[in-house]
Amino acid sequence: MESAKLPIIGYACASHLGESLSNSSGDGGAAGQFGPPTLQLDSTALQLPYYSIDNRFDELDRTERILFEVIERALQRSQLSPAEIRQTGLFIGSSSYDLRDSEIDYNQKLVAGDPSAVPMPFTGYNRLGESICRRFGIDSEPFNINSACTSSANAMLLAHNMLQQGHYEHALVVGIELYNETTINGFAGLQLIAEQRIAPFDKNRDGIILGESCSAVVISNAKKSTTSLMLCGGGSCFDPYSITTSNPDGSTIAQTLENALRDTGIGKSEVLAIKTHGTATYMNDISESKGIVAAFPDEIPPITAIKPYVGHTLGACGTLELILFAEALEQGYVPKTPNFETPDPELPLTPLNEDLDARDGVYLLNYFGFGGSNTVLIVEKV
Amino acid sequence: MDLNLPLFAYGGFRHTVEQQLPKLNDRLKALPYKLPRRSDRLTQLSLLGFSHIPASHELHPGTHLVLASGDANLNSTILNSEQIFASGTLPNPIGFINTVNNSTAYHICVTLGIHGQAISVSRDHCSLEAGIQVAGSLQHSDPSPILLGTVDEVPNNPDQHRQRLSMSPATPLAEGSFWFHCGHPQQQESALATIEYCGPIRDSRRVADFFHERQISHHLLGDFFQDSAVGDFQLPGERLVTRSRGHYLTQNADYLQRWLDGAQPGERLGMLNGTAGSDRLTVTLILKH
Repeated sequence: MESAKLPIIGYACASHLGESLSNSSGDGGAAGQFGPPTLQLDSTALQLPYYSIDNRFDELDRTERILFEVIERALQRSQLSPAEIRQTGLFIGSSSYDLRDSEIDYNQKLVAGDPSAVPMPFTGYNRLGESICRRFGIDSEPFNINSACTSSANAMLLAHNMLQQGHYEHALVVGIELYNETTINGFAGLQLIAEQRIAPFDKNRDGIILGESCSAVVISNAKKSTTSLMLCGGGSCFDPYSITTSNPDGSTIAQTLENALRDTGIGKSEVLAIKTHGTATYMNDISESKGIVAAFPDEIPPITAIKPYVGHTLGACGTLELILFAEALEQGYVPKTPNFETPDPELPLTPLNEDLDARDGVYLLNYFGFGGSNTVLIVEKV
Repeated sequence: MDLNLPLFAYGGFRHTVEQQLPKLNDRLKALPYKLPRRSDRLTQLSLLGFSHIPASHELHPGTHLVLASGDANLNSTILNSEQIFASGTLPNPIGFINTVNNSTAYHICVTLGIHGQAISVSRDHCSLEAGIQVAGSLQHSDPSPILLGTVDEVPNNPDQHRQRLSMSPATPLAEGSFWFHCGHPQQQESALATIEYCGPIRDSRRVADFFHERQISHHLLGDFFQDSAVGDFQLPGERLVTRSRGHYLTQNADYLQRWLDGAQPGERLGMLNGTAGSDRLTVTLILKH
């Protein structure tokens, strides 16, 4: 069954830059212009760069406050009625969900010497989903997808399939990844954190910088409002090469791109640009660039990356980067890749150094994650 | 959600946890595959459960994996949290990677040699049902077979886990993993049963009518409804009495497999389940062939 093009009828997000890449300051071309502020972690005394939404990390209601604000905006823009919202499918992608709430509770009790302190007092992944259902009057059951950095991209793909199969008329897809010390310290332990900036595909890359975000996308079987973006579907592929990296020969990423194009019935020549996963780790850069070249042997579409603007938001990057990319397309441009200065002779391609005029047509969005998870989404600007 | 998800084989295991976590080593040594290095208990439980499926070694390489778990890698996350907040140290890298839910899915796929899609999904006590719905969708978008697994572990220090769950110290806990071959056959085997429906019903008064319409022969109330008003519902079909032997989020997978063991062709089970914080009932209908 060929994939249907479904209109994206509403979206909203909270990120370091708010809802638009155009909120970024600086000339964008100079090194360090897109670096985040430094964060001091009390637990392990580390100082790390971090792209945050705000600095109210210790508030127990922070997760729901940000989550509800974002969903409220997305649903308003979708113009769905309360009756339609009630029947809307709910798909959530995250690698940490409300983990921070557990950290706050545990740490407060530890510091107070409270004998009832237990790590992870709030278990499971369903609490946020049920909160969303109660708050917005959604009757359907949440799907909580956890596939690391592809979580919300996979949630988008699952939602698309379920709408296409007629299980729902509308779908609310949420990607959320908020500040928590487990993740930040975990990545610090992996020694993947850059010192100042994210520079994907640059010879002098230094690694990733984490960020936080919450984003919500409303997809529909029926065009409800002025729609400028369609979700065409996508594809995914399991990579057994390593639990932390894609196969550096690019074969799995090429296969994922091929699967996405095959399942959507879209030809390679139709692709106008690719938003890369672009984490600025050596392994990602090498496998992603080789994968793109292998999938597009005749002509490589322009590529760019969003993470230098907002950081790597892990499980939430699927929906966040789609929204920021879509917003840029609506503004009429494909955003350049900040911080790119020095081509890497090992890589067969370079990212956009300048914004590109955005034409109507097909754009690919790449997402890769721990656990061998590779996903490509395809959108069409109309 | 109406489904037409055929089940071709199933199997699994569970055990009760009292004061200490039961050791898995002897059982793991007996498995016919090489165990992944650096895997955690959740992966080990999954592989032990999977080994109980008949002919489980004959897998189509394109098989998809849908892994459903309520708490997923809870133990790894607890260890990380203790290292950070109690010890002030960075988490062990492997331990951190194991906090990512799909690390378990990764190890399972590599061990079993399958490379279809790998999807990890969670929904509290209804994680099995979430997995069924994902498998039902996957079945329509791809012709490859699907492995649907459920797994939940008891974290190390069961007493602390009872404290976490506000349970009395004597309460038994349980952990285990249950598996289904579904969607499309691995070879040419015929379906043992079909999952016909899996979805929510908000108005509990409609459940009895729904079960009448679908001509169920048995109904099962998940452990989640023990001591709740749902137990007072007058429902058609024979009520199956489930006796929980431990807090176990995917216990309905265990009950479903036991019903399949004893059901006659043409009998139909209606399972009712729910999640914390919701008044929604989730109904699953299964027809035995």
